[in-house]
Amino acid sequence: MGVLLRHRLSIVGILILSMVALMAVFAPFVSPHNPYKQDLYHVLEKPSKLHWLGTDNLGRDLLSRVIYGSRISLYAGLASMAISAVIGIIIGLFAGYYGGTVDNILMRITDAFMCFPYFIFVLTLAAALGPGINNIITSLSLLGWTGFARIIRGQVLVVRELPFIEAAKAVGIPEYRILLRHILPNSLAPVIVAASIFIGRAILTESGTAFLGLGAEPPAASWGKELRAGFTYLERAPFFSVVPGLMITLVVMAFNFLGDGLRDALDPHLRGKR
Amino acid sequence: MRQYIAKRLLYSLIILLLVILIVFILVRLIPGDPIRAAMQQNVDLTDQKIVEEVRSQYGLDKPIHIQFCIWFWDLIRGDWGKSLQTGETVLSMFWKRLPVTLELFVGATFWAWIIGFPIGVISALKRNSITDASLTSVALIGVSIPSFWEGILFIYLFAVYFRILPPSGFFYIFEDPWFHIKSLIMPTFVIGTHTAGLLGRYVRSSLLEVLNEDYIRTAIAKGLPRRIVIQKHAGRPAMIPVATVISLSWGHFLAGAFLVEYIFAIPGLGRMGVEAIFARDFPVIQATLMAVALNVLFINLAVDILYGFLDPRIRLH
Repeated sequence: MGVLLRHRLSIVGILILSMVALMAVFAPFVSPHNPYKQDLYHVLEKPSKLHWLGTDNLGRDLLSRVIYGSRISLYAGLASMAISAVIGIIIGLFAGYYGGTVDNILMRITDAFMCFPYFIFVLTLAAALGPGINNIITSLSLLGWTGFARIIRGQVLVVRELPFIEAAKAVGIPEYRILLRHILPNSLAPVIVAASIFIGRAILTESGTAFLGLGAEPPAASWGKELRAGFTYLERAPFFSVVPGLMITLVVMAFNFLGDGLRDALDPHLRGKR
Repeated sequence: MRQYIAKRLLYSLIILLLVILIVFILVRLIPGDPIRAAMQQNVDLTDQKIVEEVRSQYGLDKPIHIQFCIWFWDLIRGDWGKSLQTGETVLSMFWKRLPVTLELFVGATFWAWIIGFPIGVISALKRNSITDASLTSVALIGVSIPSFWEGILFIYLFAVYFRILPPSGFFYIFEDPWFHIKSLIMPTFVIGTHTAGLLGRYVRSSLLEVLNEDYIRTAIAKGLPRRIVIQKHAGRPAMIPVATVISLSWGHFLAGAFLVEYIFAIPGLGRMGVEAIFARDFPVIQATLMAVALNVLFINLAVDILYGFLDPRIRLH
């Protein structure tokens, strides 16, 4: 933790993320207007005292919509990370611990999934499953586990050769206990780093699919969808596109900062080098 | 080495078979009957006989495993199906759009190297300085910024505000060479941004790792000029992990093409893919996914083999 705090950029990341998280949790209290209330007499307005960031193409308060949008992005990122990590950890554990044919089969399947660029795969699958935030999360997770599986497998290959595992076996501890209580906890450090970076990537992908019209259904406020609407009115209301995109960039960047900081904190081998 | 290559080839073949299976399953997930959707405009759907006829023409009436075998055989024969919208064969659609997308990739690679490489080298050499911190942050912004937002910002800045570049659209080089180049500046830059950031980070960390090695310290200790040490002794080994960036960035290029061609209205493979997804044109979606995965598979194989040549230790694993 000390190293994490000394890492200046990761502090910036943590600050940004805590602010966005607070924003998402307390959205009804901090947003100045109802994000769904349309006012067709006041569409695409410039920022004013009443609407700090102006209004969107249906006259809804943009600031409130951006605040509510953080809920969708964080939910999609965190949920898909959790699902992907669980699937990836299970597959990686089995592959790494049992080795041989099991390892070969599981890793070739992982390789096959990894041949698909993340965004294209998620876009196709999300289009197939139809709109809705949960379908996006399913799509994000169906390919997301591959990275976790590879990382865990690599760790397990190292940890299972350590003397204390041999000792545990010699004492007669059942296999599932060795896997869960001894190998898993000692393999988790790089997963935490990967998880942080994965959330950023998932949010980026989610907003990309939302930009192309999939994902959370209207009238839900998602950053990607706001941006799509802003793009349509780019000449008339340029400020409309700025804030949603900025929020996506900031959050993704913050998760990357945090990932870098965690890597330095959890991997003493690299300390000071980066 | 020969054994290593043979093993890689065998692995790739197995992965290829799995990829074919995944694409097949993925496309079958698309709900609704694609044939019905495509025929709605011009065929009398109340006539069950015609519907059945068309379904059997596309093999949709057969059991799922037979459908898979038919598709597999067609893939190998080089028959990748026809678009449901236009009736054009998918392969001829590919060939028409491939040059456009490849040109984008060449441009993107250019931007990525011309920006990412110096960022990595300079920040590694000036480690822990203000220059390093700012360059590292720039690289991280490059990795984090959504390509569609970057594209929109550029369109506003250069096309709407300054009016020096066209906002979107595309002319082939033989139609209007000057406009052709101008119309490619923004999209290539946007596609290359992510890779530039990635490259900056990889070059920096791998160069730092090499600079920490004992033999570099020896070289400096025996009085070689710093510039020579960096160029001759640190440069080459530091480039090995950078080969990974090539394989990583290929997927990003392909994904970037989907969004960026859509925003800038460029008639390439990515736009074709997005339009096919929206129109539920399943032969085109299927073929696009297949082509994309094949592409990545091939690049990965090439990088693996390249690694084998560059770093003999890897051949043993």
